[in-house]
Amino acid sequence: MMNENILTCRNLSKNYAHLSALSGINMNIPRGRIIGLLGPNGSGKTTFMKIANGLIVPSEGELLIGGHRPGPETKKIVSFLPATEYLPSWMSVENLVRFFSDFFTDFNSEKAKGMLKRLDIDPKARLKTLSKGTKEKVQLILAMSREAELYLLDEPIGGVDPAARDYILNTIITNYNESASVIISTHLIADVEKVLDDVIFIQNGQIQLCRPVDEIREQEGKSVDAYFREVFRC
Amino acid sequence: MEWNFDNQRPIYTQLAEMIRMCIITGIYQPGSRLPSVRELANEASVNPNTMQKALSELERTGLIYAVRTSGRFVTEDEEKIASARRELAEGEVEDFLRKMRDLGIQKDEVIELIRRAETDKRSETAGASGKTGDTGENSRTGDVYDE
Amino acid sequence: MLKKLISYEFKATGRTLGILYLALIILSCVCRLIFGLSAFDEGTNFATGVSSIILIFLYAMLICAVLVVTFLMIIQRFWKNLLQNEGYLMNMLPVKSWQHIASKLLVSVVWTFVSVVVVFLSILILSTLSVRISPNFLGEFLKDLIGVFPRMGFGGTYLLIMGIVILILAVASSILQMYTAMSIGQTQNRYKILCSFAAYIVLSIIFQLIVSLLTWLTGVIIPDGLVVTMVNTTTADQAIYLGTSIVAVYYLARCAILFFITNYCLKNKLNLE
Repeated sequence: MMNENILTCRNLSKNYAHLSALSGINMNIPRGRIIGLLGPNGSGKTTFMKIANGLIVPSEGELLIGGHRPGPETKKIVSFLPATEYLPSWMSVENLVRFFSDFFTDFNSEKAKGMLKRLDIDPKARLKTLSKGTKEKVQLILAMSREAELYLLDEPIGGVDPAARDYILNTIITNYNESASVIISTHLIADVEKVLDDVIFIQNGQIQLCRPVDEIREQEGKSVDAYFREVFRC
Repeated sequence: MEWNFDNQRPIYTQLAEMIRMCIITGIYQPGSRLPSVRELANEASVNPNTMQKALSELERTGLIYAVRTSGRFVTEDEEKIASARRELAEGEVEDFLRKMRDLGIQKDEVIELIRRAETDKRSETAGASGKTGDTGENSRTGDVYDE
Repeated sequence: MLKKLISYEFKATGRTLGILYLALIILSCVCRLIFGLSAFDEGTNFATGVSSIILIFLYAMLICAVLVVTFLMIIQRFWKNLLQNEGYLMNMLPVKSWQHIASKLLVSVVWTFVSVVVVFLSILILSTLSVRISPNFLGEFLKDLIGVFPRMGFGGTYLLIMGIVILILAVASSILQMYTAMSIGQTQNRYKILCSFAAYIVLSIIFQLIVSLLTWLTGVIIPDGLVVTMVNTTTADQAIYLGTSIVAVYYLARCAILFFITNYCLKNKLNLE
């Protein structure tokens, strides 16, 4: 039972002074799934990602990854792609690849180099000389070059062009294996829809819905994107 | 092959249809081995789980079968493929007839239209395109009839 | 992992500090050469006068820069690398928080001493200018300073070692106090920097009180480095042993407490924007 779910939340809540970013989240993420965490801006997607990576602590409840609270054990098996630019700008792409392979035993340098080549990124370039979109690609390559058990991708395709977007989504699919799960938070639903198994709609820090993509299409007769627009109509 | 999906129906059913189409049209020959789930999923840019589901669906209909270690194969039963082709054709015809009914075109007229489209096609190589206008007029008269 | 963290930390800091230290040494050599030449040249003219003023000004600036930049680097590496955006990267590593603190602390202590040594060295280079002072003045001074301890009757070597230990602990504890203040400050959702300053002041006051209490109890005064003992001991030897021990233990305890608080905050109270 423990091993089937890679991630579990029990009554997970996070309160800031005047607002609650997450309130009473309960969910189980099984292994071998690609899951979309979808919600409008400020719905709590990033807060969830940060808690799962131990960057902030929940006010209440708990989040377990492979049975552990976020810490060194979980960080070994979680590959995280933050939504912000987080890499030291003085380092070169090459340096970063070495840095990742130094610290993560599951990091595959060859894979990273292959992807850099494929996306035409100069490994010698320093990060600060790269455009915003290229930086995002580098961040994604680093995250996807790990052979992790859980990938937490916060807005992975937000800032890149549609061609790179397709490449990135293909990378996610290619990387897929039965024992690993991927959680993708995004608001660009139409783009990710066909790679997802399940979607979680989140709003005001609460889970509105958690269903398989095919079930939504079958029962609602519309795409998840259209359904999302209906559920979150302003 | 182009992998385009419409938005109304589950992706796995659409995938199953596309692969069935490949089998019927002979892109995947009877008795040949299908690409792996992963390869197919990558090619279609879809989640491997979804592709898996589509293939299970096809297995259920008997168009493909799985061999434990060596993967999935297209059925050698030509009759099965032929019946799938027929089924598909029937479905298409049904769709077509429904549309014609919606347009208010009578059965005789539909047959007439098909016949004329056939001859048009044959003379198309000669560069005749004047007759398409007639077809349009005819369908309009059909409309009036219905009202 | 700790080793990797330390080597990465040296790489990240070395590219700024290394260049700066090297620049100071080079400028010292340049000054030494130019002033050396003009010293031989009896008649100083306007041009050499101006250029020597500029050189001295540059030199003074660079000495200040070495000390200030080293100090700022110590703070900034902790704040920016662990608690700001780069903290995403550092905190996603499968590393324990004490290893982060230890690596940063070690590197900071090393740079602190290196910066002092570099300033010392640069003065040493310039000091060879003066004819009255022997070229090896500073070196001899150091030799005398260190040599004096073993010649002292009561365990001079012990005193020397204790002195170095206390110096290291004192430097470490003042760096850790900044780390602690920042770790406490970052737990707040707003005014993180302001809260860090406040935490630093509060910590200073607390330690001041503890020192006063200790002084009152034992009669040992603990300003950084200087030790005066007035405890009622039978011999001077015992007084010095006791005095240095108390000071060392005090700084050790101070480091331990600060390390513990910092580690607790980073482990359980991390609050990245």
